[in-house]
Amino acid sequence: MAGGTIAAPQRFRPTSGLLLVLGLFLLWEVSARTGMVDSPNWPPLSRVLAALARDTASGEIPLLVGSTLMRMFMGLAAGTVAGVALGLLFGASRFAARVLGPTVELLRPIPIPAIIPPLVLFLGLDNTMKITIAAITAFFPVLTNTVQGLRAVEADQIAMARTFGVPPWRRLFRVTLPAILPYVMAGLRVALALALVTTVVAEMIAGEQGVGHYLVLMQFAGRAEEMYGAVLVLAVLGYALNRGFLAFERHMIGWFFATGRDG
Amino acid sequence: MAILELEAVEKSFPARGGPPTLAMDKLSISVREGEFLSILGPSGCGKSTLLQIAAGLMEPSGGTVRVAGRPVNGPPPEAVYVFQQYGRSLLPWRSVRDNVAFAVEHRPGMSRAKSRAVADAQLEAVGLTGFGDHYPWQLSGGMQQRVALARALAAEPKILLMDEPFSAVDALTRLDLHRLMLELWEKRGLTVVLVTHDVEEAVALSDRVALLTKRPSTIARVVETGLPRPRDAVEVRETPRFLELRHELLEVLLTRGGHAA
Repeated sequence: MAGGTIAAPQRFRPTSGLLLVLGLFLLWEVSARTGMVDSPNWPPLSRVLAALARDTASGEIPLLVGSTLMRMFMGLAAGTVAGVALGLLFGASRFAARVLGPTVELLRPIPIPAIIPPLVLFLGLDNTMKITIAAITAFFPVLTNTVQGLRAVEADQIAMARTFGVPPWRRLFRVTLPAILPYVMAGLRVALALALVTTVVAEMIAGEQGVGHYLVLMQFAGRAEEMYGAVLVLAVLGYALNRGFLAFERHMIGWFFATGRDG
Repeated sequence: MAILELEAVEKSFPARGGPPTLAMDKLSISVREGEFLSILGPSGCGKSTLLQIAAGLMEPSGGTVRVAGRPVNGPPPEAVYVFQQYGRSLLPWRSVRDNVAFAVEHRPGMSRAKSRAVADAQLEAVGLTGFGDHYPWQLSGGMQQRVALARALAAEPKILLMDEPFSAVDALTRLDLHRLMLELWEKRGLTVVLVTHDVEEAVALSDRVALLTKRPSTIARVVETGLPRPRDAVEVRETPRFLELRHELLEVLLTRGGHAA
């Protein structure tokens, strides 16, 4: 179940995988330098990296990344709270689940970028719109997983808290919420990957700041080096977010993996 | 004096497309303060239902339940219910110590240090000194049941309501837990109501054994064991009186067709 327990033949994989990445980078560099691909829109990797290094040192890129991440995390937080809250309501009241369920099912399949234009009309181009987009992105997977998690909570754990006279609110925070946390986290992991996409798309469509806006701006300006630089930044960001989240998850719900409840 | 009284308690469950099924029919029993009472019956006869009603975890469809003279609605502070599936009632995200502390930490005036001190004392009482920092899932089944027991004791209940607490462990561990149970019962002056399908367990531990009928369940008869106190969970099994009771109760259970199949 845990990573790193795979047997010998696999040991070479990370290296060979990394070699392929380096090979592709080399191909990129060579193809641009030797004129295999002769286009002003295909600068060599070294120049892309140089531009990236320059704009990172100047503080421009960190600022852009920071503003994108801030919006994304604020949205994720809001969407998670809303998703868990509605999930708990669904769990507590069959009536609520019956009344609100069909609406949720109807809204869920809408591709989130499609909501951006109408949302711009209501919330403008500002932060609020982008945070809302990230929140909606997180909301659905977290809601689904909260409902699923509530079904998996051991009835004995709730009854146990009752027999000790633990009051309802405390039961919610000390038993139910910790018990469903692994499910919420699984929803959040899905949401995190999606939220980077939707936040950047929102910035591209209606941007004044952020990596998405920068990307489009550089494309319009014909500054290919900076444009590819932004793409590379997003690739690294997506990878780092996923890695960071996995570590966070192990830290928060190690018991869940240790008890094999995920299997 | 009766500390727990069930009077004409009925329980019926809704059945799909028909009249509700009656699971318990006018069941009455009175539990004396300080006694060890076992409720013995075939599987599926509603022993757990009876215990959950007594614990205020389930509402009866009729009749009354009184603890220390007060009618029960909701779990009474005097009684603690011990679950059959210890693995399911322990909280896997909490250490053993914090699992035990869970029983008291919500009480007014209970600081974290205080509740942990209570937990450590109870862990010592069940022979788990030094395991406070472990997690429940790192322990064996028998040890997990000890944690559940320590947690129940931490609440300082007058009554322990135990739902087949030793059914999921091996025979040797079970005897070990029987000894512990007798020791704790004697030391603390507890009233214990133990639900079980194990005749030997019921006789070895109890002052009285109540026999339950098949569904709809009610008390068929109550037997005073008359076995000496204090007693040893192993030695008592060799006494003529134990063998006599075991024979008698097994005979009743078997002739009544205890097993539904």
